[in-house]
Amino acid sequence: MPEEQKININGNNLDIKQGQTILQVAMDNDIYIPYLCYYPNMKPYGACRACLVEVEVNGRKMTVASCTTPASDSMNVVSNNESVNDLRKGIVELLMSEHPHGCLTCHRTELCGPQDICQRHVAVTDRCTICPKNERCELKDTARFVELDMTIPLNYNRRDLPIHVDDPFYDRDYNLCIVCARCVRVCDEIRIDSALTLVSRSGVSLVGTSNGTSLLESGCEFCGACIDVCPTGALVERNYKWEKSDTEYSATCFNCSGGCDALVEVNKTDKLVRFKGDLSSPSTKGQLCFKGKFGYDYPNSTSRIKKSYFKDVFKLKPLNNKEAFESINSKLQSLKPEEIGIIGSPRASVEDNLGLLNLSKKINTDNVSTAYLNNINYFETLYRRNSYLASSDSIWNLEESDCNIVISSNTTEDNNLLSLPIKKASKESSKLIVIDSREIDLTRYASLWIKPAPGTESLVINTISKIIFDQSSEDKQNKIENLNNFKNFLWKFDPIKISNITKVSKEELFEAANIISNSSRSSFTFGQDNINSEQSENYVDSIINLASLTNNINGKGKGIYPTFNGIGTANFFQIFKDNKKNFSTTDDIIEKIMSKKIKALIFFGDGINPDEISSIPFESVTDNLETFIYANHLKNKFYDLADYVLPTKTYAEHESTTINIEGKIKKSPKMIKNVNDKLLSCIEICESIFDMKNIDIEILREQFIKNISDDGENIRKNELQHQLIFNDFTLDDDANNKLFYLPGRILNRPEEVEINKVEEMNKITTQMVLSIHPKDAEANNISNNSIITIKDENSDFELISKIVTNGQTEGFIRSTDYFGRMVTELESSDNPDFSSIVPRLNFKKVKISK
Amino acid sequence: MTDNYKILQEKSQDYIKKIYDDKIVIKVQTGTSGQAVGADEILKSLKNKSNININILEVGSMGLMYLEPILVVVLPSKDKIFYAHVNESLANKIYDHYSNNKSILKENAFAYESNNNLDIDIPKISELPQFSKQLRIATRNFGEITPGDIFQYINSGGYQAVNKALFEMSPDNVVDEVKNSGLRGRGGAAFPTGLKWSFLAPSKAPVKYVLCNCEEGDPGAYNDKGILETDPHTLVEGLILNGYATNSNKSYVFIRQGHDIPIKAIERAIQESYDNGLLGNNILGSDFSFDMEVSLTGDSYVAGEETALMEAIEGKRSTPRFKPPFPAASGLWKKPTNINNVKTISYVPEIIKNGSDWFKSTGTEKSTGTAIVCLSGHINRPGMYEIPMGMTIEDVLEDIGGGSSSKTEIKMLQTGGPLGGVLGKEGFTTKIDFDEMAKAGAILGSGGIIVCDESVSVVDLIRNLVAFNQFESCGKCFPCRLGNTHMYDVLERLCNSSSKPNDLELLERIGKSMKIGSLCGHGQLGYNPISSSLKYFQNEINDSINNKLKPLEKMLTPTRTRPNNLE
Repeated sequence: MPEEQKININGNNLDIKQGQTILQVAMDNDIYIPYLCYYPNMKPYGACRACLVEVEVNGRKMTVASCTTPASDSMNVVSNNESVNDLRKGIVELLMSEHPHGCLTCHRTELCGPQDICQRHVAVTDRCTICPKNERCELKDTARFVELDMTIPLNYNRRDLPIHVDDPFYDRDYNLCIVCARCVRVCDEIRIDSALTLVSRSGVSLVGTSNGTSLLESGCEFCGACIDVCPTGALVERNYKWEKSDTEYSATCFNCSGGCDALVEVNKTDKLVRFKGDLSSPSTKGQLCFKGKFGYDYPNSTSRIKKSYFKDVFKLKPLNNKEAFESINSKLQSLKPEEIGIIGSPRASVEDNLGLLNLSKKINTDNVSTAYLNNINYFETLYRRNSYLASSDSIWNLEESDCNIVISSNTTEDNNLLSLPIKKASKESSKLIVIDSREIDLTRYASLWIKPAPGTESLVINTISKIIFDQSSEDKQNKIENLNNFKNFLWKFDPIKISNITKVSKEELFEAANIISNSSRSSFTFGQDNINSEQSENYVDSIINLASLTNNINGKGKGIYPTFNGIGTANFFQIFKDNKKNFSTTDDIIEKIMSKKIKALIFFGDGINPDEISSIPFESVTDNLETFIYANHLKNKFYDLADYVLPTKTYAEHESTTINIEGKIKKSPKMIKNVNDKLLSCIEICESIFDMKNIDIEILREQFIKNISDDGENIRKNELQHQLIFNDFTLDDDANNKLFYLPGRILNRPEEVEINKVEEMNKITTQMVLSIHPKDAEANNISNNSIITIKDENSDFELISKIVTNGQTEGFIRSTDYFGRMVTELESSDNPDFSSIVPRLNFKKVKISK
Repeated sequence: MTDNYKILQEKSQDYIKKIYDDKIVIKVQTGTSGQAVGADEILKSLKNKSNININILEVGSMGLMYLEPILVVVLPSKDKIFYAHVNESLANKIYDHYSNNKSILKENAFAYESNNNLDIDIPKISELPQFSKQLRIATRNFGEITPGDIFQYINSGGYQAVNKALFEMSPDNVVDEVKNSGLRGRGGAAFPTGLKWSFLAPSKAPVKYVLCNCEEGDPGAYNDKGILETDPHTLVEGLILNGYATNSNKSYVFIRQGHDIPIKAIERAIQESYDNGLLGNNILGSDFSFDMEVSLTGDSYVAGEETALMEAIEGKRSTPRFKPPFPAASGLWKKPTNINNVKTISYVPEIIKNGSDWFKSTGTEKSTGTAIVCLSGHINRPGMYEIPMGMTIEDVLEDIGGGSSSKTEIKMLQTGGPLGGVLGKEGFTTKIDFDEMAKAGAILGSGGIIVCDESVSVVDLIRNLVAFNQFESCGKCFPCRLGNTHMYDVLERLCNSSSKPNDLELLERIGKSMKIGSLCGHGQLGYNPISSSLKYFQNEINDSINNKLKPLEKMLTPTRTRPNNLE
């Protein structure tokens, strides 16, 4: 242990943690040193020089930037004497010569109320009212701290630059930019997107995109991290731009299974006006994604369902809640228990799922599911092997991996925060293997991109295990428990044979094996995209076996990171499992509806995409129902089909408990003070339908948490066992003789993207094309550049598009869209709930017609 | 002497024999300065001629740039006749003359070199003060050999130092020798070179870099590129020694893109060194391996700052990093790195060959060796000269430079680049020496000396210097990005006779912010031109503050002051 090091700042002897700079020590000890370019979690930059301090070491006095100078033993630091203050003031004066500062110099700054009309004491372009971050501005805090004089001695010059308002979600006003480069650095260092850059130099240097393109072309993922770090009003969210916060809450984002911490600003009129990354959260380190940053505000929507309805012949008629429940109850009472189905929301909290448990118990039906719980075996297998449903370690541990393996998971879009450590590691010296036949953002960072025929992922993984096993020493092999069985299991996975079935070349299989066995720390991030229920047991086993075989189960930079669709899905499974209550899959329930075994469906629609809930159009599902009870907060396609509509509360309208992807138990507060008393929570609905008065949800919740957690904050994670578990396997070369349509989506490919203005907004207008292997083209008699139609046999999917014959894998028809296009569609959509409309990239087995 | 080196020497002797024995050799000085006045055309024209008794040799500039294009005829007797201001027809005439005659052609001849006194009425080169007062160490081969030609370089004693170091000295010996020589960095900061090397040498890191900085963006300085384009092997040799001394195996020579002549020369030198076992694995059969590469950049003055240069080599925006960590701990690609200026490195071969005591015997106590100065502006003999440290500025201006080129006297000098200082007449008695120059308010820096006569207004000169600094700021740290703009604004007012009463205090306030506040030397030294001018030209500056001078002409230097939405 190194000796304890102490630094003296302004007369206080303070402890130095390893690697800290002077500024960091000061911040830890609540000593304010102004700074504008430094930002927690990012590398120091040393540009703004506002953090200058006087340092005396061994009798030598210097003036240094405290953000870049490492704190060291016996340093004497003064951060607030006259000379330093004057120096800082000199620098802030320079800044103000280019930054509108009516907000500081107007004599009415103290007098004006928020609603007052500006009395025009300041030039129109410099008024406090032109800055969306007035009073939220770090520069203003700094200027006040240095006691800037009312008149600065330098020429003031307004830049008169046009404001960029033609890209989705945020406005960029570089008239207010101080070129601290925080936005450029967060995009580069933390998001690994480098969508922003510094342009030009000397006095004209500014922030922009390379070649001055729009954000749609620059590779922006619209995470809004640049907005959160901007110290001035240069970067702001367009929606609620001028809204001031009244209360700020620490809350959880419900938009994916990540369960990120966020700071939520609510204004005086109970509107949610801003989601910001929470720097104090060790799970997110201040980061959010496009869904969290911009897709939070559906509780504010004017198209909310505000009361109960009942369909009388063809029209929905309002009812009061009591009447609605009585009517629903009488309908359900007339049915047998097994004729009632329940589908829960993927956004469900622990409380909501406990409600579903009690309701299904009360009804005594096993026809209960949560919307995206189709791969029960995926959960079963994880649960069987781990006894918990979460990642084995913090997501930031992925940064330490020498090799990240990402399988069947479009991480950047679906569980965004996981992609950050993976991208960051790949930017350093770590390898990234992507096993996914779709082209997704992460494939751009991959050292090896393996494209197996959909459904053959586990074969690929088992074959990699076999190659690694064959190449390992006898000594090592002998240490494996169950060796003979394992050998017997593996012999099937002959690389040449598997290569034919999976369409992955033998060389790629060997390369993957080499990369993994040459890495001392590997992590496995995987999802269930394109994996069906029959395959998912083998799939999960194959991954954990590979991790176990290569000693990558526990430890720094190691581990397994399963992802789920929807934050409530995993805890639904766990709650029902813990209570030994049988449940079902959504697909099964829909099948039973189609065969008229289920006659009434209670459906919680929050966060569900009507087009993706089933392969059958939902209209035909509801046609087979006697009673369709729809509970949600938004009017969408389901609303029009419902017999009963129940108005629900959103995440902002009641307190709820969730479990994030790392297995941290979170409580998210009620944020809207005055909630419409007609709105119901899932529990209230569950209680009221069958008039269950005696459920004490708090006791149930505490019980559940006690079951899964020792400290009430983290779920219990047993040390994972090194185990090889496998089922016998019949190789199925079904993948051959099939055409797979594989949609992909990437952040950018500037050489292809065409931008046009539609209603003054940038839009990507590049025509999407399909690509097919020349041999498949020949077999289907397709010529290059022709227009074709592809159709799925089992669903109503149909796509008409131009096709080019440059595909690389036989049997694959690909198309790759751009993230930017999806984002502009999200922004212009009527539905403010993004996660219910983001189109997922599901493969299809298709036939071609001309 | 090792066998490997002996073989190289023998090869080079044969090579030289073929060129010189019983032949007349005409050397055409085709450096950048020569080519600017047509030397390349002359060379082309002469090469088309076909007298087997005359060899044409392309050589670099000898530094007397005011006389270029220079052509030197080396007779079989080894006597040399120097011709100045040669044009194509004169060159052809010279060629034809020596094809047929044994007499000496006098037209445009300005000097000769011979062991005997030739019977012609031109001086011996050693009688010219601009030549005789020089002491050529780093520039010893200037005007003599073909740039990048390894055998000509070896024949004049090249790579002896590498041979000596690799087989007779330990790396520590080399560091000690450089330390003992008192050699200080010629890039501007004058940091002791040996001491710098000793920071890197002990590091056990598997990858270490030695870099050579030839960014050289100072207006009025051209000696780095001069060395590179005239005698690049001396740099290659110096860098090998630097690498050996510090146990580093890789080196980058960083040059500003677009300087094609020096770039080609150093690339040729590196290639020929590789071809002859002086770079690459096991140099001259020793255990020491060393690689060298040229790295180019876009044009940015700040890329010459050591850490910005590393960013540029890494392919990033060339903006300075903060220090610490210092390059010796974490430099290029976060690996321990040493970086020196071209001139600094070019002294090393001679120091190793002749010993540090020999080097120390020249110059002053604290500034040993020589300085390579570049004279330009209102001076009679602009050019590049290597002079012993300790010579006074007066002597340099008069004896070497030949005094003012106009009817008026020399009023002031601008030394050490635009971040250096302005020196008035009272300062001309200053010795050329790092510390003396600094005391006088100027810096020796890169060695550029721009001479101004009475016609130049000091305010105009400062305005130009600040405009340059403003234009070339990288824009990273706030004091430099904004401070230069505002200093330029004020100076523009001064030049337009529209100054405000407290403009001088304002300059001082901005200057202070920049000096203490800036991230790198560019901002920290940005106030220097003003502070040094105030020392010598207080009255003139006061007059312009009081708007007593008539408005000056509009400045032609470009600026990049503000990101305004103006075309």
